[in-house]
Amino acid sequence: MQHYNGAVVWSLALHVAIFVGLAVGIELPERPRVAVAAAPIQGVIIDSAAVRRDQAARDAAARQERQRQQRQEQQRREAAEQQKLAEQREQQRVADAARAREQAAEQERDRAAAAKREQERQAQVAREQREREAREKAERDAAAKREREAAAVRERAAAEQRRREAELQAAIDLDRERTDAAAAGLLDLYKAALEDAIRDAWNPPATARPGVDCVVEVVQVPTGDVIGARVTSCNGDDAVRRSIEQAVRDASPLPTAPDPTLFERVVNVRFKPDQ
Amino acid sequence: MSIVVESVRIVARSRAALLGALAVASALLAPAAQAQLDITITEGRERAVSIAVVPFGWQGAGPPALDFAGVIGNDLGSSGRFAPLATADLVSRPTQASQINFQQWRVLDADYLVIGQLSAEGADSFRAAFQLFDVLRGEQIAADTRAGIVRADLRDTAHRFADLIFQTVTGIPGVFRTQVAYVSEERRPDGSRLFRLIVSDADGENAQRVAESPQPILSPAWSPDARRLAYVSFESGNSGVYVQTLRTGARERVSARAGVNSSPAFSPDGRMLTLTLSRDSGNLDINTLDLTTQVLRQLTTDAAIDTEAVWAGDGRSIYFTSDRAGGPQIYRVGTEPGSRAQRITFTGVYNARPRVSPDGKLIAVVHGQDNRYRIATVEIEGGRVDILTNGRLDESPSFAPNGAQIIYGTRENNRGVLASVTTDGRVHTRIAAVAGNVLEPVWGPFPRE
Amino acid sequence: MKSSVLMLLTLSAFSLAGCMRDNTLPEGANGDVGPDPGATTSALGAGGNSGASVTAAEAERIRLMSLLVVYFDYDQADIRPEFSAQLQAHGQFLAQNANAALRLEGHADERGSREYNIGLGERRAQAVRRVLMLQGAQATQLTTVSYGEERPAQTGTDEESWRLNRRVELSYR
Repeated sequence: MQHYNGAVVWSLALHVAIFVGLAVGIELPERPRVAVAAAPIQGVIIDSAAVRRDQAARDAAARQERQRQQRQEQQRREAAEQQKLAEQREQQRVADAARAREQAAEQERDRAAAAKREQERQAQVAREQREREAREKAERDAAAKREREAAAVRERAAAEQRRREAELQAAIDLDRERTDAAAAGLLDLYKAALEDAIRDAWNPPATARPGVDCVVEVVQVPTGDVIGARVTSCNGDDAVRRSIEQAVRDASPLPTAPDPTLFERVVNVRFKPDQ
Repeated sequence: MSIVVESVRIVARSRAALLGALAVASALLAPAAQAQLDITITEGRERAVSIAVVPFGWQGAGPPALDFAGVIGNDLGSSGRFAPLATADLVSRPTQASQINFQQWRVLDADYLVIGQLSAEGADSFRAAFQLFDVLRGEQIAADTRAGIVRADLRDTAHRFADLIFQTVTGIPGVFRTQVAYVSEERRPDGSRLFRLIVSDADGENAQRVAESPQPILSPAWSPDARRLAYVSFESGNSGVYVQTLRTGARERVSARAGVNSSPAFSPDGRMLTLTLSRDSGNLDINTLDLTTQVLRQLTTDAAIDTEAVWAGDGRSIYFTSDRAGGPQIYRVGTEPGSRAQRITFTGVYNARPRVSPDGKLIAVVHGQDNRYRIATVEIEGGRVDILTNGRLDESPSFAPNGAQIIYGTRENNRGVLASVTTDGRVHTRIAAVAGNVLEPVWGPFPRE
Repeated sequence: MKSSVLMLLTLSAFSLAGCMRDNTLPEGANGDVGPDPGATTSALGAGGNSGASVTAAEAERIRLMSLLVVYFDYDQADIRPEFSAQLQAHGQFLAQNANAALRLEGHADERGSREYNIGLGERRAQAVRRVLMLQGAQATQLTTVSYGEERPAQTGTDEESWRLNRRVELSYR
C-alpha cells in the first residue's frame, strides 16, 4: 500500500495543477465594447404680447371664478346651515323617538329581566338542587371510585410489595447460595485439611474397630494451636480414648483456615473407624 | 396515588430489612452445632507406638540382677506394635517421677515413657516397680510394684510389667508371659539326625528339652491349661501320638495303631484329642479320642486325606484339611454324630493346616500358590484371604492367645527359622533368640495365674 | 527251596546296603536303582543248584526285584506305567512266598504342610499296596508306614530333590 500512496499523491497533484492551469493559464478572447447613442434635442418659439393678453384674460376669468365661487360658497354655506338645522331637528326627533323607544324597551327589559330573573332563580334553585344531588351522587360515586381505586392501588401495591419481597428474598437466597458455595468450597478445603492432619496423627490401637464411635471436642485458637481437647462421648476402651486425645494434640497446630471467616473455635472431631 | 405507592415502597424496604435481621438473628441463635466445625475421621495411620523405656534404677550390690528395661523393651518391640527408643537416644535417665521433664520426651517424639526401680532386699528377694506415663498429657497411666521376688522369677516379673504396659496402651492383653513349643532338628556329621521337642518363653529364653529322638518328632499341641503337650513321634518306627505332662516329664502313648497316627489337637476343655488315623483302611480320617474313657469316634469317612483337625473355641465344631475336592482345602464339621462337613476355603488351590484365631473369626492356613507356600488368614464368614508372609516354604502358623500375632516356621539359608507376623500382616519379626534348625512352632495359651 | 531262601537272603543283604547309603539314587524314567545286578547274579551263581544256568526271564525277574523304590508325580499317588513291571515282580514274589513280608514306606517332598504330606506318603504307600495285592500278595504280608516329608532321600530345595523324595520304598522284613 505504501508505494501506492506516492502514486495517488502524484496523480492528485497533477490533477490540481491541471485545474489550476486550466483556470488561470488559459485566457478567453475579449468582446469589443460598444457606446449607446443619446436622443436628439428639439427647440420652441415664444410670443410676449400674447402672453400678456392671455394673462389678463386669465386674471379676469379668475376673478369671476372667484366671485362665483364665493357665491357658491355662500350658497353652500347657507344650504349647509339649513341642512344642518334640518338635520338637527331630525336628529332631535330621532333622538326623542329613540329615547322613548328606549324607555319602553327599558321597561320591557326590566320586566322581562325580572321575570327572567325569577325564572332563572327558580331554575337556579332547581339546578342547584339537581346539582347538589348530582354532586352528592358524583361524590358518592367518586368516593366509591376512589375507594375502588385505592383498593386497586393497595392491591397493586401489595402485589408489588410481595413481588419485591420475593425478589429480595430470591436475591438474598441467591446471594447466600453464592456465598455458601464459595464458602463451601473453602470450607470443604478447610475441613479436608483438618481431617488429613488428624488422620495422619492418629495411631489407632487394635481395639479401634468398626463400631467404635467417639467424639473429641477440640478448642483451638486462630493459629491452629489446640488449647483444649475433651472426649465428649466414646464407646471405645481406654486405649481408644487415649489415642484419639493424643491424635488431636499431636496434630496441633492444626491447619489454618483458608479464609479467616471460616475459623471456628470449637471443632468436633468424630472418630469412627471403618476397617 | 404516588404517596400510596411511596409508602408501600417504604414498607417493602423495611420488611426486607426485617427479613435480613431475622436471618442474621437466626444464624446467631441457631443450635450450637451450626457454629462449630464437625469433621469425621474414619481411619488413622497405624504405626508402632513410640515409647521410651528407661533403664531401671538399681539398688543392690554389683550389676543389676536383671536388665528390666531391656526385657521390657525387647518384649514391646517384638510385638510389632511398639518402637522403643534406642537406649543411646535417651536424653535422661529418670528413675523417679519427680525427675521427669516431659518436654524433653516430647521433643524426642516419645508418646510414652516407662521408668522403674529394682532393689535387692535380701539374699534372694527383690522388689521391682515401674510407672508408665503418657508424655503428651504428662500423666501416669499405669504402675505396678512387686516385692519378695526371687531371682528366678525376675524375668517373669519383667514380662508381667511388659504385659501391663502393652495392655494399657493397646487395649489388648500382652502375651509376654506365654510359652512356645517347637521342634529342633540337628543334622550330625555322620548323617544321623537328632530331633528335640523344646518349650521356651515367647522371647526364646529358658529353652527346655521336652523330648528327644533320632526319629522325627512333629505336630506339638498345647493343652488348654498349658500343662501338657501332645505330639507325634516316629521313635517306634511308625508314627505314634504321645501326651506328655511338662512339669513331670511323664508321658503316655495315646495312639499307636497300625497305619498313620498323627495330628493331635486338644479340645477346649482339655478332655479330648482329635487324631488323624488311617488304621486298616489306609485312608486318613479325623477321629476324636476321649482321654479319660479312651472312646474313639470317627468323624470323617471320605476317601480323601482328612487330617490336621483343630477345635473351634466353643468345642462344637472342628476345622480340618481335606483334599476331597481334588487339592487340600479347609472344611468344618460339627462334633455331633451325623454332622456333614462344609467347605470353608474357596480361594486358591492349596489351603492346609488350619488354626483358629482366639476370637473365632479367622483361620490361619498354609496357602500354596505358584509353587510358593505362605501363611494366610481366611475370614470364616466371607472367605476373604489375606496373605501375610513373603517366604516360599512357610508353614505351621499358630496364633498368639491374644490373637494379635501369628508365629510360623520359615526358611533362611536352607535352615528352618521361627518368625512372627502381626495378624494384620503389617509387621514381621524374626525370632532371633531361637537358633539352629527349628520347625513346627506352636504358641502356648495364657498362663493360668 | 534252598535257592529261593538264599536268593531272599542275598536280596535282603543288598537292600539293606541300599538303605544305608545316603547318596542319590540315579535319575531316569525307568528308575533303575539298586546294587549292581551283576553282583547279584554272581552271588546267586555261587550258591543254589550248582551248575544250573539262570534263564533270561529269571534274570529279568531278579533285576526287577532289586528295584525297591517307586517314584511319584507332585501331589499324585498314581503308579506310573514304568513301575508296573517292577511291582508285578514283587507282587508275584510275595504271592509265591507266604512268609515274605514287605514294608511300604511312603514319602513326600517338603513343600506344603507336614501332616498333609504324611497323608500323601500314606496314600502312595497304599497305592503300591493295592497293586501288589492285585498280583496276589496277601494283606498280611504288607504294612504301610508314612514318613511324610520327614525322611528325605535328598535334602535340597529344588525340583530334583523334590522328585527324588516323592517315593515309596519297598523294604523286605
